[in-house]
Parts: sequence; C-alpha cells; structure tokens
Amino acid sequence: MDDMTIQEFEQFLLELDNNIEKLEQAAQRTSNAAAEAEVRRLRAQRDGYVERFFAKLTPWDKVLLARHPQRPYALDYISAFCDDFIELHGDRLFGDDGALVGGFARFAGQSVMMVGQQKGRDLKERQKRNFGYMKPEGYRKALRLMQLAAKFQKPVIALVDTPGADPNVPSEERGISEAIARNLRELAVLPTPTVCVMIGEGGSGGALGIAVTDRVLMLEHSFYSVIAPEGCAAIIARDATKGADAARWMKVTAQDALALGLIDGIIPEPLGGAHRDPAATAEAIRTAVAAALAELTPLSTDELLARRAARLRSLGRFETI
Amino acid sequence: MPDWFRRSASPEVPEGAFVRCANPKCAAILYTKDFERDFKVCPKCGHHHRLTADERIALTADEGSFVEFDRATLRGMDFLTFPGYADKLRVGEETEDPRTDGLVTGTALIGGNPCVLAVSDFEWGRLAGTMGSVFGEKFARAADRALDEKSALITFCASGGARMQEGLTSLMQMAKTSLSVAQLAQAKIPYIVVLTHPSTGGAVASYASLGDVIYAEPGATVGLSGERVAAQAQSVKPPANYRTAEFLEEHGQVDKIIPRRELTLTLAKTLAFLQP
Repeated sequence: MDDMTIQEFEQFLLELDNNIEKLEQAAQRTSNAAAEAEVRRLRAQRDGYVERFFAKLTPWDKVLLARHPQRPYALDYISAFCDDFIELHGDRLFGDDGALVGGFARFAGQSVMMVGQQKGRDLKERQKRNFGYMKPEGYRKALRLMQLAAKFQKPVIALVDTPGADPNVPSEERGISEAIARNLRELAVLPTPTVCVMIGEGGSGGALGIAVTDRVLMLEHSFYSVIAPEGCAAIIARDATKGADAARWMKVTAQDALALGLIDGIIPEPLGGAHRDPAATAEAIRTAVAAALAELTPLSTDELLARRAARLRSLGRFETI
Repeated sequence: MPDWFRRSASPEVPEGAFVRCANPKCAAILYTKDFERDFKVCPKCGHHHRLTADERIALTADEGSFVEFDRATLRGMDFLTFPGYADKLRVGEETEDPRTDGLVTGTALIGGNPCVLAVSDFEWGRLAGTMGSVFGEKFARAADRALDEKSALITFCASGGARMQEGLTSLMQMAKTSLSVAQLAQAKIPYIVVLTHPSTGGAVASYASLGDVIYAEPGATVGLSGERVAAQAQSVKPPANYRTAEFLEEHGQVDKIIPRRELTLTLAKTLAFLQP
C-alpha cells in the first residue's frame, strides 16, 4: 500500500468500501452479530489504511486530490452553507462567464457576497464552465459583484478553484491580462472585509485574480501555485510529465504556503479528502470563514485597508545588504 | 522555455564592425555604428532589438540626470532550494551587474520633467526579467519614491512574468506591485507603462497592464500565456499578429505603439501633459 499512487489507493479504497457494504447488508438481513462485529472491524481497519496513506501524501498526491473529479465545487459549498443565494450574472460589458458564479447570500447570520470559481461535473457542464478557466468577463463580473458588496458594506467570500485563466485568442482579444491586473489593483483597496478559501486548484494569476483578500485560507488538500506543476516541468525539465517533481520544487501545498507565511490558515478536511464527506467539509469551511469575518467586521475601513496594504507590502523574501 | 527566449537572444555580434539583424526574416548585415545610432532598430526591417537596462536609461533620461537608488541593497534568496536557482542568482551577481535582480530603479529627468524610472533588466541572471521578491520590493520602493516626490512613475516592462523559482511568493509580487499602483492612483500620481519585447505572464497580468497610459514598442511580444501554452490551447487559429503589441492595439488594450526613436520625446510630452 505504501508505494501506491493516490489513484491506486482510491481504487483500493473503493473496492474495500463496496465489500464492507455488501457484508453489512448481509449482516443486517440475517441479524448476524458476528458479521456485524466483522463489519466494525473492517471499517476500523479501512480507516487505519486511510490514515496511514494520508499521513504521507506527496505534494503531487495533493495536486491530484485537489483536481479529484468528485471533489466538491463552489456551488456545492454555497448550497451547503448559504441560505437565500441569489445568483447574479454578467459583467455588464460583454457576457456571463460560467466559470465564475456569484451573488447575494445569507451566511452565518449576515448578508454577504459570494463569488466562486466553478467547474463542471459532466461534459456538458464542464464546457459551460470552461473547465474552470475564467475569461475576462469572469474577472469583470467578479469585480462588479465585489464592488457592489463594498458599496453596501457587505463582506465578500471568494471560493477559489481554477487551473488558470483562459489562454485562448478571444480572451486575449478582450484583455484577459488587464482584467486580472485591474482586479488585483481594486481588491487591494476594496473597502469591505474579504476572505478567500482555496477549495481545490489555486492556479496562478487565474486564482489570484479573485484572491487578494484580508484573509486567505486553504483546504488541507488544496494547492496554490505560481504556475501549473506540468507547466513548470515543461520549462525547467523540458518534460511536462514531471509535474510531480515540479510540485515538490515549487512547494505548492497548503502546508507549504502556511510555512512560507503566505496564507492565514488551513481548514482540515475529513479523513480521505473533501469528497469523502462534503457536508463535513462545508461545515469546516463555514466555521473557519465565520471566525475570520468575526475578526474583520469590527475593524474600521481605514484600519482594514491599512492592515491589508501592510500585508501585501510585506510579501517577499530577500536579504537586505 | 517559451520560444521568445531563443528567438530574441541578443543579436549575433561577429566581433567588430558588423551585426546581423536578429529578425530571422530579415537577417540583414548592419554596420554597427549605424545600428547603435538607430537605437538598435534595424534600418531594413524596423525590428526593435532588446536594450539592456543601461541602454534604455541612456536613451530615455536626460544626460546625467539618472540617479539610481536601491543599487545592490537587496539580494534574492533561494529559499525553496529550487533546482538551478542558486546558480542563476550567483551568475547574476558575479559575472553580471550585481545591482539589478531584474529591475533598475532611479530618479531621472525626461525632457526636463522629473520622474522615477523602473526599468526591467531582461538578461540579469538569465532570469528573463522575472518578478521575484527583490523585483517586487524594488518596484514598490520606486512607487514609494514617486509618491514622496510627487513625480510620475514610468516603467519599462520586459519580463517573462512571475519567477517560478520563488514559487507562490513570486505570484504574490503581482499583488504587491498592483497595490503600489493603487496607491499611486489614489494620490493622483501619473503612472506610465512602456511594454517592450517581451512582456508576458504575471507582469502583464499585474503592474504592466495598469498604466494611466500604456505605450508599446513595435513588434513587442505581449500576452498572458507563453507561446507554447497559447499554441496548445487554441481552438481557433490565432491571427498572424497574435500576442504582439499590434494585436493589443487593434483590440484597444494599449494606447499607442511608438517607434523607439520617438519614444523619449513622447514620454517627455506625456509627463508635461500630466504634471499639475
């Protein structure tokens, strides 16, 4: 088991779960106490396997977990911990980007603006969401909604999950660079409390474009990287299949980002990853974000912006000679 | 490595009086004296060869007016022990000018107008003008100086984007430089960007797309994604001028493309126009 990849381990886990379930059904049918005890023993044994495997996840395992097809997406979380979500569409300039959802919501007893990068489950939805690659209109929609929130003194919660910004010709034509850059500039001085959570992939500038916030939190098995590990490998090792090496070189995990002082906290995931228990993951996010907002909302706007500016200004590691 | 790395290497200099135009479609043999006099613009095809930071400053600032600050006061660190990075930093420090780490900053006059200059040094450490921690700090300090002196900040961009050898910390330099631009905007201090070859990745997705005025040199590669990524990702065939200054001008993303020989005068006029 120790030399399995995360995919092989997940396959192994799936078979184990199926067998336990079959045995459990049989035990219940026959009210067989010995079989029920066996089910409990197998469950404990399975959890032991998962614990052991997850204790030594490689950075690449985490990249794959963050991209796991069953991993909960932004709308899953929004529907789990928000009430009265009213989705708002469009950038008022060109179109509506399916890779970015947002709108009013009630969260932990207050009105907030939710924005989130959204991937799709099936082929049709994946196309609608452009596989999570945001276009200029997505960044402009996000900024419109966040500035709307600031105008009415509502906090912003951003859920980040993107492989990167859309690199296609139409996006370059419509100024994808300008759209991201403008968001960075405006979010640096947005006069309202802001919190973001990396829920899956934090892909480069595409992620940062909605993630310049007062608090930056990451799920335990999300990652946040300056360039996709495969892209880095293609440049440094001239081999895009060396993504696992690049993930290690660039230190892309949530634990790395916290150790480097670039984020504020890590939200623990259920054993085996967010997809094994989406409800528990949503609750963990809700608790962490509510705590962050409770710290931020009492601050005056001047104090909030001064702290945000000081934090951004301090980013970087160098020697002074 | 993106193709522009190779394509835009400095022109071959066959020891002496002649240079070859680096544009492969031209490749004209040029008399060095003429080439230098024309600010390294090929008289045959108009190709703008890359300038070093010193050449750019000499061309832009009034003679003797440039006063560099933060010269060799900050040093980059290989804090991720990223393969090859320590060597690049050492090469940059030992065999090249130790001061820059990808950006040269100072005060200057252009046509008598005071300003702060922040000029990319593409060649330093063979790091393609990328934005590491030192780059971000020097840019932020240049913006601070512009705020203190109430004079415009002008930046010449030639950058491959964020410096992946510093991982996520380098991505954060995009946020840090954008904050500085926001502070300039709030104080109504003019901020002028000149996009030169090549301006790509995190640089154009942050400070280099935020100028009150954005000028570009003819033929400069400008775009978010690297050429190879761009080529792979396309569902439609890109136009011939894709990811160039001309493409951006056509789509309303830059104010004006300005040939190098006219650039300094245009900057002087722009400064005079914007100053109170």
